[in-house]
Amino acid sequence: MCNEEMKLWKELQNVSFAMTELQLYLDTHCEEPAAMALYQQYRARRQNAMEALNLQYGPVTPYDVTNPVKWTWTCGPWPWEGEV
Amino acid sequence: MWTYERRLEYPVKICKPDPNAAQLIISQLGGPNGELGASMRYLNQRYTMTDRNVAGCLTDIGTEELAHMEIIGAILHQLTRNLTIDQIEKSPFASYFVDHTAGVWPSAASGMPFSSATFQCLGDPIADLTEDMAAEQKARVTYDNILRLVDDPEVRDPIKFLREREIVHFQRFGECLRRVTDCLDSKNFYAVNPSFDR
Repeated sequence: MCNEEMKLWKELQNVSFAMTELQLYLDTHCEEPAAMALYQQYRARRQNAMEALNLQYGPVTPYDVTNPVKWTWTCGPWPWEGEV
Repeated sequence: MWTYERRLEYPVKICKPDPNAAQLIISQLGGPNGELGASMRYLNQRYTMTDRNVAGCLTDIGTEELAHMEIIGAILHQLTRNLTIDQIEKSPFASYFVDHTAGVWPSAASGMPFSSATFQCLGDPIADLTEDMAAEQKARVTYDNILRLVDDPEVRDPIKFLREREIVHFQRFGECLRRVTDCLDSKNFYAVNPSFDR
């Protein structure tokens, strides 16, 4: 896996974890402006990372497969193999 | 990593509560051939599945089984909400009610709690995939038995969907097994365990 791809996965992991933390917090604090604003910031970053990964390196989820001729979901290592 | 979607894979809308049906259908939540065991079986077998396509198939079917667990949960919830004490008293559901009220708790129809003893992860692709094919057939038969015992079309409809999925999964696991054996010594598939013997 190249450096650029590693960086994108790392970004996705970090941003998604921040969103998970905010999701739990917001579940019980539904109208807190600071947390809501932060959530939208991370949401935009997550979208960018997802799009870049899907476009350049392959699907993050099976719903993201866009290749019309080859099923790319099962290409490449699975996360438990210790490469991502 | 998993995320949740706010939808059932197949809709469940049951108007008439029925504690007897719930007492039977609960087996497909936490019984020996139920959806929880199915998901845990496939998701845990992935790590030692040497073929990446087959590991993907285990991921995807294991994930779908989680969705099936939710469908069974929705059926159980809709069958047991708004029950009167009189309805509960006259039903075999009463002995479940005393410990769980109308909570959804994984157990077999007999009352036996969910156990990982109902499935295997042997770390051998042929053994594991053969178990998976058997598991799909056992779940299919359990759904057949439920359909023999339950009359309400609103309950039967999602049960029929789940039954069909067992048949599709059985087909896919058959292809997975074929993929794995195609990569082994055709004179003796069992000469090595490809996930242990290097």
